[in-house]
Amino acid sequence: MRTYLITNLRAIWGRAYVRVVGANREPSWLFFEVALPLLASFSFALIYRGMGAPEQYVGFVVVSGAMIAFWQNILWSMAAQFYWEKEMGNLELYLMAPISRMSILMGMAVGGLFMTAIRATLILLIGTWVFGVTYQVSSWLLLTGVFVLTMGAVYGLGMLSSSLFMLFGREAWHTANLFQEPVYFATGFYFPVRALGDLGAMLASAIPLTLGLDAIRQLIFSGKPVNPLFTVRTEMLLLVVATIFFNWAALRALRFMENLGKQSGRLTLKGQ
Amino acid sequence: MINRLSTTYRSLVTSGRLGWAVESNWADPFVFMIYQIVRPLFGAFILVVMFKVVTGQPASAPAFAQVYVGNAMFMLVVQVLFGLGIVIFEDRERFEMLRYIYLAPVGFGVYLTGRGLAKTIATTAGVVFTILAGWLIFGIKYDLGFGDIPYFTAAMLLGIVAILALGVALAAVAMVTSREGFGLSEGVASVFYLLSGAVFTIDILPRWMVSIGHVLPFTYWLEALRRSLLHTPYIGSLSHLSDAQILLRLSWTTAVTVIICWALLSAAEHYAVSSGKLDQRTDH
Repeated sequence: MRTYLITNLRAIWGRAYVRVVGANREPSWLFFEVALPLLASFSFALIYRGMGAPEQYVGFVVVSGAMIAFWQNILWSMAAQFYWEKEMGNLELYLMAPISRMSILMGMAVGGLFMTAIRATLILLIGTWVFGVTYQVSSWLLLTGVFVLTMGAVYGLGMLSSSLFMLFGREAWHTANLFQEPVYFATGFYFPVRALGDLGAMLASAIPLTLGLDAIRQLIFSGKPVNPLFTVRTEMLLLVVATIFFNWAALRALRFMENLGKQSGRLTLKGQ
Repeated sequence: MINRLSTTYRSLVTSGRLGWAVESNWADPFVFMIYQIVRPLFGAFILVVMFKVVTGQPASAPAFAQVYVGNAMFMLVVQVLFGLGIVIFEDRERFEMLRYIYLAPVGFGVYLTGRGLAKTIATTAGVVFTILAGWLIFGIKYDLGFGDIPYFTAAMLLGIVAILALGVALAAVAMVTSREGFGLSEGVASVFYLLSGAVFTIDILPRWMVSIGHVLPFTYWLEALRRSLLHTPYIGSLSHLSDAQILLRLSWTTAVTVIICWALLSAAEHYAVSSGKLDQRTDH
């Protein structure tokens, strides 16, 4: 048991290491992944300015710009990553190794988090400075708790999705694309999710980002009308449930899809 | 001369067919079209909700129609730039065939233009559907008469030339960058989204940004499309220009863009070959 644990910890570190070292060797990613996506957030903030929206809406866009960085990391560098690994010929090596598939995914997550945290922080700082957004944080402790729980649930969702991408062919690229704007819409990245109506918002809350964003907005724009979905404590409770569920489901789904892939011979099928 | 044109045409068609096959033959046409439509449609939904939340007005309000059309049309820029940006990484590191394209008597410019044309055709379906959804779902009133069609077509074609030229230039940059340059296309598209007035009039930007916006082909492209579809100027600082003047400005800014992008392609190709980057692997 101890050997298995140590092997898996080393696998997590090994997979994360590649990403961290890769990022340090090629610092140009800072320009590509920070400066340029920042402009997309600026556009949405300027739309609100152009419409004469209340200032907290501009703040919503800045905070969402930072959170989008995490979602894109999960989508492209974790969920879709098994597809790229299959194409590169690494997937069979992972499957042969005496480690859990979750360790490889966690390694990707940890390595990706390093770059994504820098990207999100810079987007938040620069966006706040450019648009003069002011925050009023009601509880730093709750804010940290909400953020950690949101990441736990969303990365669990990413691992669950990766089990699907493991068997995908060229549709992987298009499917990952498909999880961008529809998710930005459903989770209320740019507006309070209640604008989708009560039923729409309830359905959207199945994506943990919806709950996380809503709770974060309540905590950092305290005293301003943010039209929340639930109270922060309820959202935290739901995030705990989501974290447990998505990580458990990911474990089961990875096993199931791996067996399915073996039976149908799709695990090593490239260029399809 | 005729022989050369014929070869170029054949190369263009072949790379276009290759691009179309890579893009689409993993699914039946119906499923593929759904994939093409969903993303732009939800992009439009986001704007509709933002507008409704802030103004309390329905999406059929004339003020929103300009925003909607600009956003829908701009999807062509985003998708083609993104699609062409990834071509080099895929051909170089996944299919490992960039070296063979270099060896073939095709020329990267023609090859990339052909690949871009395939992406343009695929994205056009999403754009058309989004524009139609504006009319059918959100009640946006377009006013495109028969007399406007030549103007609309000319503007559309010029815009596509500018988009393809820029896409080729970004693909050229990808030749000399690592896989980290993957985000460059989407980032550059964001710059143009901001500076060409896709979803807000550029007049609210700082003066130096407005000046940049005034030399971009996409600013005139979107203005021309809006004028032909809605018959009202959008950008205040261009309202003194007639429709013909807008088209003229679109023509010369497109011509300059094509020249600059072609020069960039030649320089990048030369640098990639001389520094051994044409065949590098950077996926980790």
